[in-house]
Amino acid sequence: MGSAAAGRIWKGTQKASEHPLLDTPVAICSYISENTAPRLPALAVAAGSHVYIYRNLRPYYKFVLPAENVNTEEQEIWQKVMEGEMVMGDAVAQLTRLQDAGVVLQTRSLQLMNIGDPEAKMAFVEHWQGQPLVATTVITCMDTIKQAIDEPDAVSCLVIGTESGRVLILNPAGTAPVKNIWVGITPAMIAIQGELDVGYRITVAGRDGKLYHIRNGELQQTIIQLEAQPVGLVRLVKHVAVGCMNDVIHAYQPNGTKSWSIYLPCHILAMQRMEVTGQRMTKALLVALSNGEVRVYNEKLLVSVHTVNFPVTALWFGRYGREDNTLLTITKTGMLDIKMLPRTANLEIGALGGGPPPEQEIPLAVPKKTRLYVEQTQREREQAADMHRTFQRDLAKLRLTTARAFVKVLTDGQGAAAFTTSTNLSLSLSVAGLGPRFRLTLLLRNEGARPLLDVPVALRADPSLYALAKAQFTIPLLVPGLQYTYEVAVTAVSPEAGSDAVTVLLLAPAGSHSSAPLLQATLKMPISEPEDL
Amino acid sequence: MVNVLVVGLDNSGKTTIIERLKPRPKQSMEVAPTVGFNVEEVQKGALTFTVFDMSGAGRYRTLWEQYYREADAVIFVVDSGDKLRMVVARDEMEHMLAHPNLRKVPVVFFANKKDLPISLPPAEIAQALGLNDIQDRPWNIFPSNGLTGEGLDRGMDWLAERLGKA
Ligand SMILES: Nc1nc2c(ncn2[C@@H]2O[C@H](COP(=O)(O)OP(=O)(O)OP(=O)(O)O)[C@@H](O)[C@H]2O)c(=O)[nH]1
Ligand SMILES: [Mg+2]
Repeated sequence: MGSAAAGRIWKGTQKASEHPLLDTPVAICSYISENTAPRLPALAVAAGSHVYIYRNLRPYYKFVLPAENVNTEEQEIWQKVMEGEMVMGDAVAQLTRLQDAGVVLQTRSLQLMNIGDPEAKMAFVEHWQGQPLVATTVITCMDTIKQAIDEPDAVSCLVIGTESGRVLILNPAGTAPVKNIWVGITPAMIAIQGELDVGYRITVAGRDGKLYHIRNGELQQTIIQLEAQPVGLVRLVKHVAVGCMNDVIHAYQPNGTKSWSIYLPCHILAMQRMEVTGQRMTKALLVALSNGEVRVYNEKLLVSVHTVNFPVTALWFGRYGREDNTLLTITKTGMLDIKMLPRTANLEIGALGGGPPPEQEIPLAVPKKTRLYVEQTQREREQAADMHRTFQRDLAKLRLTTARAFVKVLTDGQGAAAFTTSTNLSLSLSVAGLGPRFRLTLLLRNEGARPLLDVPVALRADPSLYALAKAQFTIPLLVPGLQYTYEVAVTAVSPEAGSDAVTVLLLAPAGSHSSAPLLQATLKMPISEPEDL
Repeated sequence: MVNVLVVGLDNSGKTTIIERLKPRPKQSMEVAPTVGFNVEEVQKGALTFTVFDMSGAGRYRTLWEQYYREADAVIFVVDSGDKLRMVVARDEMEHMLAHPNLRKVPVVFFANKKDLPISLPPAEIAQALGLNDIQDRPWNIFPSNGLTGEGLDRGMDWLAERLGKA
């Protein structure tokens, strides 16, 4: 076992007491368990398969989870092997067969199967001698539900989720379950609304990434498949909000309809309900994010935000000492941060300027139907055919103009000299030689004011007619005003097949936004002499 | 007749202090949390104080401002042992001093419950409440014990002197 688990009680800013715990706690709740005055809250600490209930900070009762049903065959195998009626080899083979048949075996059986050494196997069975196989399970989450009335100091009951896929509701004293609901999936988190005797809903976030609903003790048909594993579950007024690992919070209505979503900039570390007592009762949602922000949402609108310096592991909002609206934040570094909501704080929608702008409420000043408008409508009705025709003609003209412009773009740079105005470059091409070996000369001049860097040049020719010494190269620098000369050897590969053009493209320098060529020039090659033999 | 407004967070000892200001036979040792407010009359030398004992509970703090206009002096009681809620006391004090209805009247701070082992000294309380930023009115802070009455006289003498000058 690692470090000893302990519960620490704080009063104000000082530690009041420390209580050693037998096991690592998974959940803690304080609740009123008795109707007698004074209503001192009991403290329930869930650890392993027990709930330790404290009163006056003294251990009062230990609730043990009821044993689960064990597969009878598995039980028999253990009984036989412990009584020596079955040899070890058979027992293991039988257990393996059960497992293959889909039975979820108990930890004890799995441990036995995993022991390799036959002697150790025997010793393991000996260790359990006389103790029949029972299924134990552990608590995964815990919360409380009010028994009959929703008041701050009304009697409540504990609600427990178990690894075996159950939700148990205990009696207020915590001595026995009054409801045992089979969910089938291990609850990772639960959110509760309503009162046990009046009507209640329990939303369960399962390990399988789905939300299950329990209504008055019955598992409902509605199952919500989440797009990512849930990391937080909070019951709001009309909704249950679930935060997922993909940094989104969805709010669902009891019938499974999604009402809204909040998209967050980073991971959700913790979520909690914020119930503000004061002049106005507000139920808000607290979200701690991995960037250190602790945000408060009223419905889906951000109403407050503050930053904590370290990653938050847990949040709690409620009464602390004499202060009703206190936010306790625990960080990964072990810091306990206490913040109190100022009496004048405003968590109403729109407090941070979010929400619909006020302009939305003001009707647009739509002008009245003027005479001009009426006449126009009338004309449209009478001369619809003419108007349509005029429109069609204009449209055709527009298309023609566009097509012409396009053709011009395509045919530009078809000559041996070219110039662009956009970048102020000029390029002229000339060819020397009789063939089949030619020399293509590029004369380049930057007429602009700025030097150009790293201008790629590409040459294009029919590969069946011409072989280019280099099809592309980069001009490192074009200083304004200077003339640059580049030569490329061009060989006619089959002079008898005739002649064709060579196109030179100057491309936009790397890093510029456009991929369109800056400039293009085409040179018609002369007819080549045949290769001297 | 001088109207004195007594404010401060709940449980700071306002009612207890006022009891201690009364003549001994009239004092009651048992005090319950005040509901709303109470009005008492207290004699201090030649001055008669009409004392408004306001409740400090969160839901009643909105009542304080109803009496700002009439107040000739303010007694602000702080529980020296309530380190946690010092920020709340500061918040309420700042709201009060910023209120347009409150004139530039003198304010006495009682750093009450000085007998508690965890109590903060008056200098630290003055620091925590930011009292040194108050420049527009006379103020002073005195450690006090509402149960024994210790320190109350010094505060009330200071107040009487301020009011006599005015
Ligand atoms: N130890 C100690 N306790 C004190 C002192 N003054 C008052 N108390 C106690 O503090 C508690 C609260 O005192 P009150 O006078 O009722 O406080 P209050 O400010 O009037 O409270 P509200 O009426 O609720 O605003 C009582 O139990 C008092 O006995 C003090 O100087 N020392
Ligand atoms: Mg009082």
